[in-house]
Amino acid sequence: MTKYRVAVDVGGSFTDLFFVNEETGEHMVSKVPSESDGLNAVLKGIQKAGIPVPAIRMLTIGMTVATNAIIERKFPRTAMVTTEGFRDVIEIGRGYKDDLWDTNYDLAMPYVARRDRLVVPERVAADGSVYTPLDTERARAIARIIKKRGIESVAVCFINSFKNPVHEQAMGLILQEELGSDALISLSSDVLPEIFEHERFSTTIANACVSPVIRTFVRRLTSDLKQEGLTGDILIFHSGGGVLTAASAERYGARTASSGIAAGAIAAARIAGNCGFQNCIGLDMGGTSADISITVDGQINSTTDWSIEFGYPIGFPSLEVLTIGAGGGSLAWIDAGGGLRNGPQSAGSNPGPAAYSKGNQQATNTDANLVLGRLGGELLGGDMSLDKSKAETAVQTTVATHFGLSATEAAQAVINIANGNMAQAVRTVSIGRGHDPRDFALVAFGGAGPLHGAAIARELDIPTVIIPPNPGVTSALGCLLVDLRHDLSAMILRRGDELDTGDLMSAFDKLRQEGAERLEREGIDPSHHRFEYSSDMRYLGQWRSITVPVDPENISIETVLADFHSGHEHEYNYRREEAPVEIFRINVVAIGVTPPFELALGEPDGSEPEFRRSRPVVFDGNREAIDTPIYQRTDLRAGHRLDGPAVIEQVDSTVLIPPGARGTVDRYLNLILAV
Amino acid sequence: MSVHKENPLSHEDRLDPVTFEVLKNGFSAAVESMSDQVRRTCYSFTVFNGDFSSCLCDRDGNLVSHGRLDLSGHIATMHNTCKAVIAEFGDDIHPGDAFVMNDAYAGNTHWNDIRVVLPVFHEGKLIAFTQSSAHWADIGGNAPGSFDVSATSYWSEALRITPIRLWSQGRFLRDIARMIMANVRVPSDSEGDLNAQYESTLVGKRELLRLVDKYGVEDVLEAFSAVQDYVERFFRARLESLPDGSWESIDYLDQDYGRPGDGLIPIKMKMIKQGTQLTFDLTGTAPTLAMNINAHEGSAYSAICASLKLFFPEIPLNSGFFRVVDLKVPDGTLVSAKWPVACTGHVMTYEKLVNSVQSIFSKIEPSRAMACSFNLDYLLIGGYDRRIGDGQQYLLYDWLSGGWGGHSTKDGRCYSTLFGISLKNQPVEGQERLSPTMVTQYELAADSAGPGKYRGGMGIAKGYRFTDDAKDTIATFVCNRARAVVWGDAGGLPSCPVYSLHQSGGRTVDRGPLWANVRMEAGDTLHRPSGGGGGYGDPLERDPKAVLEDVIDEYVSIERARTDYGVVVKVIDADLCDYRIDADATKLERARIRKQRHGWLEADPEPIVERFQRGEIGVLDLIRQYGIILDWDSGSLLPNTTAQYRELMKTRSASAWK
Repeated sequence: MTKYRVAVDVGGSFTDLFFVNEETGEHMVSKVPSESDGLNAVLKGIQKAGIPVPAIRMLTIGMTVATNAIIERKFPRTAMVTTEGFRDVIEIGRGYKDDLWDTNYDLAMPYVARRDRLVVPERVAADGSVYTPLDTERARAIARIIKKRGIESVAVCFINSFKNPVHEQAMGLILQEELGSDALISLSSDVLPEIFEHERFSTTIANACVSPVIRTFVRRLTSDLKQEGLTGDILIFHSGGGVLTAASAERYGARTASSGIAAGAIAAARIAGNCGFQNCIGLDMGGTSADISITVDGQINSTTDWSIEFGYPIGFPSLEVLTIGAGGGSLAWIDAGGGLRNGPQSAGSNPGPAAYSKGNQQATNTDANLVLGRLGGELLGGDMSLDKSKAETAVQTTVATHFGLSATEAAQAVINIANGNMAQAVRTVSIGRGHDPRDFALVAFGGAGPLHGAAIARELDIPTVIIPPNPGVTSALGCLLVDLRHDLSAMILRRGDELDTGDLMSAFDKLRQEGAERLEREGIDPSHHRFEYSSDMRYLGQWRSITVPVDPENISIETVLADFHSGHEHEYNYRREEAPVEIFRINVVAIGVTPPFELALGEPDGSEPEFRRSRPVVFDGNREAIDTPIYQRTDLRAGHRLDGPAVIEQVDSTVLIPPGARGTVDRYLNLILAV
Repeated sequence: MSVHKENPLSHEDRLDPVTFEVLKNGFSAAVESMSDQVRRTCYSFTVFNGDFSSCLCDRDGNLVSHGRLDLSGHIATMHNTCKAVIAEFGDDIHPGDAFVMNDAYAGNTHWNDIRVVLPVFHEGKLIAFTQSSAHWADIGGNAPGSFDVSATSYWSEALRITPIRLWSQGRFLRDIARMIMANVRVPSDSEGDLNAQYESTLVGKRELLRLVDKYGVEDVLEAFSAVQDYVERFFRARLESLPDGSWESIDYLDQDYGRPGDGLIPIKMKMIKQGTQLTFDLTGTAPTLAMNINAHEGSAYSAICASLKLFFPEIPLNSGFFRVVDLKVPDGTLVSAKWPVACTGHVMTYEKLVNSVQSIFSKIEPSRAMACSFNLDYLLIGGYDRRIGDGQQYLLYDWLSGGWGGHSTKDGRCYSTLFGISLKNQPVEGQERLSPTMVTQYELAADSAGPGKYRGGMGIAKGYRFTDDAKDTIATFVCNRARAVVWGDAGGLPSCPVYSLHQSGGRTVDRGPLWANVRMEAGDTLHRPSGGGGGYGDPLERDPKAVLEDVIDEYVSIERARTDYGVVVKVIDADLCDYRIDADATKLERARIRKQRHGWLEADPEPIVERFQRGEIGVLDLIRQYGIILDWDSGSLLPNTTAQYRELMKTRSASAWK
């Protein structure tokens, strides 16, 4: 029987599915509404594509289940057990908010209410020695209170447990005994064994809160699909850009907290790689926001400094995606100082842009694009029509009148500011990190990305823009392209000159062994194991570290130190050869390689692209509209060339090729623009 | 696009709206890159946790743009630094130069804030300055951390650095740097921070020149002034919709360290709003103090601008903002420190000004009204750590935030400092690694929040044990609000007095909120809780269900739910969080309090103090019910202070009780 690889992206409104026939490499996509919990959508999407469930060899799923559970606070009541005297570490936090200056603005309350944060006498000192032994009687009494409250997921968070986990482990056993083997116990020393209590506790609590939700989701999905005859594997896409088995995802639910947006970054990197670009910037622009990611030498930048809700960090590695409020529905407005602004407020999809005729009268990017002729009068392949006169009125009243501009000029100003904001964000992730945008390709996707990609690329002198064949379902493709991945780390906190190569090797070996064990438990044959090493380092006395890759086959303390000095210089413009270096932490990524597949390639047939109609479109730098050919994406074949000015329409997006830009369609049916 | 059309609000601008917006954001982004550089490469725990700022100034030293996460108290002083450098060096400023200064008498916040100022040239012409300010945990003087509470002049506080050139045409003047490092207690941190700061000014320069390359020097220079005009216009437009008039507020410091005694020290403020101009007059404020918490005019001005921005968070701060705000400070007072008056601890005065601006604007914009907030206290510990040996001292500079005041619409919270809204709370695990201390407690203190219809945020209880590795350790504590207790407003009640308990060899002393150079032995403990925020609105009008929730979460004890809120709560099963309100008893209790409370503030204090001494009532009863302030360590009544505090409570609390 033909076997399929399926990737699913369960989003807030839609569930996107991407199917690949493993034999032919042919693919198809399907899109269904997510409904309440996304569970039914998976099966419906598979049925809609007409693929029998037993034919699925592997299903990878990226989802916003954990993200939404946190945002909406829809998770079962959860408890925390912590060191006596430290009940409020997560409520006091770091005293930080994302809108610092607004006195009326407070952080949301912690995920676990104070009443459910219980304390036990115990204390481990900074060097890992036990100062106050765990009061086991009190520990048991607390476990019984938690049981009495009917709570089944508990975070155990003790001070300095990253140095010595013995008390947390003892507490965990007591809880498991009292609450039963099905209770989910998250130990901070297991979840994220790192210094700094707020970040570690917060991660552990997020994990304790969402793991039950993920467990329910994964178990139901598994049983539903098994009932339909699924024999293949279900893998869960996690924030770090890999997949977990269903069993691991239940234990480390918070690892999936940014599963949804990370997939887009992976897809961008893979698409660019297929086109021969090892460096790329991903621009995923939808209705309300734009997600921007960066890949350097084939590696996507990842971070451990992020959160779903500000103030409650999740310290698991997550692919770094910068989200800004720039989307098709972002509103143009004039501030009290008379400045023209764009976003982050958005008209969303309801009421949506003025042109949707659903009551909004304030101009959005979609309205401006419509006024300029860059968008046609229809979206979704004709399922939805846009009212150009409403868009014109909105641009006129919101912007043009105020500045004494024509509607066309005002629409250009609106788009230029949106592009400026996105260019700024791209600058932050590239120039801000010492990368020259001229060395990158921009992968523009999402519904709105292909309309804006060329202008942003020009703003930053990015020479190439890649527009994938299905811009609107690209994230699902990302879920398909990943391996099993466990991120492991160990705190070292020692000076480089106090360590020798042997010390370093044995520290890495220990992590590698743990990673190999995890992969074997997941049934991955050792021949498919792969390991990536890195070391987080800083000048002794500094607080932030930088990550230096380490060659597993050739570990040498001298090389590691030398690589740190050059890494520091690259990132921060200077080095201090004379200063001692501290190895803060080492990391091992244990990868279980999933069998590769290849997408089918098209062959150039020598044909020329043909357009069916044309319309006037205003481009940057022009005051007047140019009569511009309108192509259909479905008409484009490998090898086609088409130069700007041109517009390409497709069901899930619209592509703008400005005058001077030259496009070619490659064998993956990506459209490559030289801008 | 380059359209230059008439626009009623910005007719003077030469720039089209897009170029303007792009450059405005470009300036912010340049400054953000500077801050990123500091954050990622700094050495001291102080700077790492946010005590630094970055900015871009035009060639005349005016502030154009500052960092998003800047320490608010720094921002409206950075133009002073830049202008001081210009005044000192004039035409003698060259490409490759960089200047350093910390001179408070030239308008720098205080000695610990080291400023690095880099001139930016384009084709040989000076076009701008980039600047980095960072708080060095020590800059010399008598006390580790340079907060010598007993200082009356700067000679015992710190090393004063008037503007000097530390990089001359690209060459680092190592000898001068060494002289500075020889005067600080932890030179390795300071060297690392200085380096991080200097590199960040270079990053700012690189980013600015990138904008010049792209948009041309003319447009960039034009945008420098346009951005300031924009902020001025923005601010004036917001003020236009508010009524004209004059408003007053008064807040107090506890006492003068050098001249201790009975009587709160007033800091007065009058704000006159005429059209779109604001004038602040601090006349009536007490004379210069014989200690280090005097503020200079620059600090007072910065306090006012930063607190105005808390009311208008959407308006950027730059020199355009300053055009709208005038300040009058009377000579010889604690808000006009001049050479050689001690002023490292200026923040204690600064925060009182912030609370007064808050109080005034609470009347003008009641929807954003707020009661008094606890700001922060400073604990500075220095000495030797046996783990690192005698070659180098350690320093722990631990600020602690507390609760913010209740709002007119909701409870107060926010565990951040008013002075530096971007200061992070420091991780305990980092502190224990860096200093020979073990933190004994770090959690919210029950009943610390001022009661109100909307209560204040909670104070934080924090304590330390000095481990066996501590040697020759000296500590200093800078706070306030032991007597001028954080007040409630619009009928709300005060929070709690700040104190500090030092336990040494079996003896415990309440050292109060302000002390310097006290020796801490290995095994000693120090407990230093911060204050909660004041309550807003009559606590008898708080929804009993909200009180019940607070009791379940142990923010409020059952006893104080009854005394402060008149809500009687019964325990059914604490394990199950099952508590209930006794509705009848609550009705009676609220009626009783309502009837008696005006009288409590008039009652003869002596018999009440006797009841306190017999243990019948507690500290919170004295303050919240009777407005009585004692010398907390000796337990004796302070009649003058009590009279002043009762006056304050009658104005801020009792006048709003129905």
